[in-house]
Amino acid sequence: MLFQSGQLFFCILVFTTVFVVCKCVFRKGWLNNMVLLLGNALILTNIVRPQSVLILLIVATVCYGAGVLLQRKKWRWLLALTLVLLVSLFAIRQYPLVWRWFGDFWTNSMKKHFFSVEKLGLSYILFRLIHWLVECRRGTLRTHDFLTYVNYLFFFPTFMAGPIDTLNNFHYWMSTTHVRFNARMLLAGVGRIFLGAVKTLLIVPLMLPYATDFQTLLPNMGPWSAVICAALLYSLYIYIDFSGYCDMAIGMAYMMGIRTPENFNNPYLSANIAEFWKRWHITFSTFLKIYVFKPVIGLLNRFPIRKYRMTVSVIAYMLTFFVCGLWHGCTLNFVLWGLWHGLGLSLYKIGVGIHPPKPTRQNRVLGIVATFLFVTVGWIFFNYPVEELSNMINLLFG
Amino acid sequence: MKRMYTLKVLAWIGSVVLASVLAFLLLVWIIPPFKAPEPDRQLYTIRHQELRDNNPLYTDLFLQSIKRNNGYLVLGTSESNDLAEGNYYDFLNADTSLNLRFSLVAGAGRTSCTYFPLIQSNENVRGLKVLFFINPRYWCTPYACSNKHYFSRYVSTAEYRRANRPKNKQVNDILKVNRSHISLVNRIGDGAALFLDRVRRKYYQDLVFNLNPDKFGKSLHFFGEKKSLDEYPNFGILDSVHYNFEYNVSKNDDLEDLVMIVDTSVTYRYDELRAMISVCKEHGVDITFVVGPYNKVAFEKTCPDEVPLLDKVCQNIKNICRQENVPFIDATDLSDTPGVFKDAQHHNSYGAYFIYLKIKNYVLGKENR
Repeated sequence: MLFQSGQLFFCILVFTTVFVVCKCVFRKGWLNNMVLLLGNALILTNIVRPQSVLILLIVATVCYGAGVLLQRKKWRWLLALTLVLLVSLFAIRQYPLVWRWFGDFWTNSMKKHFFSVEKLGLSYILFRLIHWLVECRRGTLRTHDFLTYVNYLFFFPTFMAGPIDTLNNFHYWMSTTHVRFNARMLLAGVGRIFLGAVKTLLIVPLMLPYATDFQTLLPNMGPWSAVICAALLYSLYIYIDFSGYCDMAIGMAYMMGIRTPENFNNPYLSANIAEFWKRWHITFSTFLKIYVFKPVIGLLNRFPIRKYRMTVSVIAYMLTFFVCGLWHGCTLNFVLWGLWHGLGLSLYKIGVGIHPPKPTRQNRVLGIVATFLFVTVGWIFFNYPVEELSNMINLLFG
Repeated sequence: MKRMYTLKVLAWIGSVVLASVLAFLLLVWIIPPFKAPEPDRQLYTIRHQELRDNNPLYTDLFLQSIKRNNGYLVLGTSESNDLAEGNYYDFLNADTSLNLRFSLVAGAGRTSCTYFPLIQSNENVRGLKVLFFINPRYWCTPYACSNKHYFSRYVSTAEYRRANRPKNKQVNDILKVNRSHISLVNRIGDGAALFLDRVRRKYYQDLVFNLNPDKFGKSLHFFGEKKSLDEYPNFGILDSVHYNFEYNVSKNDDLEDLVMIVDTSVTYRYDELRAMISVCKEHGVDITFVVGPYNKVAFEKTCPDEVPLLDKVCQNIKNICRQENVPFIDATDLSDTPGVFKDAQHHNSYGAYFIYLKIKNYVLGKENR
């Protein structure tokens, strides 16, 4: 939650006001960046431990150096090395299983410092760092300014759970000088935060106990009905909760005059699973497409398997969604959830290849219902650990 | 659904929200303050949140009710929390030979610094009779220094702001130490917290109670009729069958790992005690300290080197009281009495019985003077 306390909320409001005034007054971009840096430091050190921010800043500085080098030299080995190091550090911190593999390697002092880095927002920082490194090598970034880079990484509204912005977009809105004060965007920010608050503070608590555990419904209905109701509620809950959070993050950014990308576009109105992933957690799925799916396709196309285009696509989908599942959590149920979607996309791709559907209204409605049901079944894997899943199956079929 | 997310619609929603907030704030001026009826009976306690925020509606009523009924206010830390078989204040309140009531405010870590803002900002403390329980445990690590969690649990930053800038240097120094732990964001937010607190009270207190005065009565906890000590069947009786005399405790939790070191490197607790005495004198509080016992037997078993140091702590506390000419009830002789402790840090109901006797003797003497 971005607004953990009333005081933090007020502090964010005060800072936002200061930042908006500074944006109106200062013509120099670096001055605005300095103000934003101060605000990010002040607010983030209240959300996570200061040493956590400091260690992340050190890692970010090393990555900045690597990025600048990559922009000039285009060394593939440096990109690979930095990415492997980054992902390894993330995996060790995030997943107890990986950490145990390296158990003997760490001294107590190393452990103390390493584990003082909080998990909160860590994976989103990783995404932004990967974006920075890869795009530096590709030469697509419009700025390499250190202050903008640090603010992009640590931008407090999107620090914890996105949306995952691009550096170019962030830089564009930070450096926009033609519109110094945008009253409509400020008001829109307030409206967006209000909508987010209604979703997460009013609607979510109503459904949370029933959505996350089907057993709370068992006293009132049979096991099949309970599982189905809980699954449908969970589909709504996860969308309303996450989109509510994103509304607040985007609204806060709006108020500061920065338009971060949208994360949701009515995902449950998707007519197929491929469309769903273009509408659900958009910035994350775009990230996966650019930095996992496409490189995997590129890699597979170097081998003789490239002749079988469908097989290449299926492998790429399965691998991408295996990574997607692992990213959500290092347990079997998340992997199953990822593979479920990988399988869905593969089948859809094969199906469309064999028999393309006609774009009729009836087909669209059927597609929306089928996609929603498919996604809802997927959320069951997402929500329940494997032991609970087996209990559920025993209850339903036992 | 998607149309709602256009800038135009969002800006319209934002305008309505801002206008509503403004109207909400302006309406505060026309809500009349709720006036509490004069208390006829003594209040047993006050809700934690009201004391934390120093809500005058409740704190004034609480303190006035004690004074009007010639009662006492008992202040204590975790040893003064509820005990299933009765704590010393329960016995005092049940004792029909005492025509007095003992209101209570207690909680883990509720040491004297948490009362400084209340004492400094509330005139009703003048002439209030207070029994303040001191647990020597607070001179051991990690409690020998100021504790930010406890301080922020019991004192809101808004309340601190309301009562800050004390003229008393000793008090100021102690508050400064505690205040230094509060984050910059919280400090920046102090003004807002104070403002929001007032707005919140206007709606959730003044408006609600003006519309429904009965609701206010239901939020108070008055003493009932005095019963008798018979309602405590184990009054003054020790369940010696289930008692661990080796460690002098009735609970056997983590005794082997018990490590409590007297922190002689800091003088914070002594300074806090002196500041408490000073602020009580300044504001006319009739305070009496109860210097509580520590579990000497458990300490001798687990940290024998600390025993002389804790004895010295108890002695120092009493010396400070003597030097400052403040009355105290000495319960430290219970430190090695068999059967009086629940665990290494807190007395049990049997121990509470002895403390009750000591307080009763003191109070009878004081009231008859």
